[in-house]
Amino acid sequence: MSEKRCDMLIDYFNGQLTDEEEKQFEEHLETCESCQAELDEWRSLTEDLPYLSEPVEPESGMKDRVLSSIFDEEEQEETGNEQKNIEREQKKEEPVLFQPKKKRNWAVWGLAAALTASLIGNAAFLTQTPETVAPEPSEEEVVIDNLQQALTLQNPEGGEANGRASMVANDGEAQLVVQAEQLDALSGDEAYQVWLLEEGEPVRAGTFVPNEEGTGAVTYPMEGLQDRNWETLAITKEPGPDSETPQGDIVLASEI
Amino acid sequence: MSIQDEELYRRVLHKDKDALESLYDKYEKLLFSFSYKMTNNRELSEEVVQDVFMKLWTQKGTYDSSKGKFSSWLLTIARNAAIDLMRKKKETPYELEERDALQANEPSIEEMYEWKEEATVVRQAMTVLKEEQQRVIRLFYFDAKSHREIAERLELPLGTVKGRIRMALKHLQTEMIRREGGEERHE
Repeated sequence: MSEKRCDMLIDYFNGQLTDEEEKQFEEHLETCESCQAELDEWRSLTEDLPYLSEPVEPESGMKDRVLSSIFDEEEQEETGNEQKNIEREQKKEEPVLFQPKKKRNWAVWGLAAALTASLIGNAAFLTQTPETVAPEPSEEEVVIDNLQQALTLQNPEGGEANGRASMVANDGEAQLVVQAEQLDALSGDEAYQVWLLEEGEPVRAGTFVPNEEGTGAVTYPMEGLQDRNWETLAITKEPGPDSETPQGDIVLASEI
Repeated sequence: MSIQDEELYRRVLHKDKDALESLYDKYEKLLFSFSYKMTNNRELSEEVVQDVFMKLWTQKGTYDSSKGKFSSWLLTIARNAAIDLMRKKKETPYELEERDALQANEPSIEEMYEWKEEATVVRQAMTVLKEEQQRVIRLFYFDAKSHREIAERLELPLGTVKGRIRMALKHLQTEMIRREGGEERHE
């Protein structure tokens, strides 16, 4: 038994043990003189090995990034709660556009999103004109939070435009976050509309207008939309910000 | 040299930002280069450096001179951080990025001599070792492979791996001592 524990020394030194195994081994180490001696020996024999490293120039600005993140984090801890409250207040004041009629829990979709997203080749289902979906204009926050699983969005027919869709937990609330880049400029009332599709039926899931560089982002609360079997996420260019069904062409899409 | 480190470390314990910055300036390149040797990834290497100084600042790890040289202690923290990050990244597919190929350039003369004092002896000693022993050291120390993986790569029974590691390290040490010619080890 004890000998078997001694065999864990390499994996202990190289951080390959599970937490449980590591605890076991450390208990063993306290009483096993030969392991202690060997570990000390390894530590002293390997002391100069890092100097074998070939000099590599760090990325420019690394010092600023590292030190400011260390000092910033500490300041945030000090002002912790106060800061959070301020952030929350600010979020409430974000621009308001549309409110979803249906919302959706992110856990179900999160599983699907964790699978590798693949590009849809054909989005013909969007040419159907579903009558069942009639979402009401509503509001939506334009806040981006901690990203989790992501889908990669591409144009089914090729092109520069690309984007990502992710589900994030934001204060316990599920949100769909869509970001896109290199989108064509819009004119007049045109807007980009995000849709979630179930059996070819689209449901509105966020509207946005990109900036001058063609980059846009939108978040959409998913609360209450957990019982749906979403198959596709698509973004279309719409003549106005309140299309109830897709009128324009798909610019980005991904299977879910 | 190490007395200066210990003094800076003491000041860091008292939340002296300038002292942390001095240690950063002194060890940035060594820690980054070592992390890069382990992870082969610039982004991860930066994360390692950040982890090391974060630990130093938040006092998650404490140093005292009975643990040996301060620099060795710092390098050990870096090695452990690199191992942790490599394990985490293994769980999620990681995109290797090489934004620039600076490390592909020939190191400048100045860079070659960056940590010349410490490096000369160990580099020379390493070249004397047979390829097999160099490989043992690489797999064990720099790649931080598991016991099983080292055995597989070297096509050795599990039970003999530890012995091979010890032999390679001892051989390296013998060669280093020979090169130092009985001089005092730099402390």
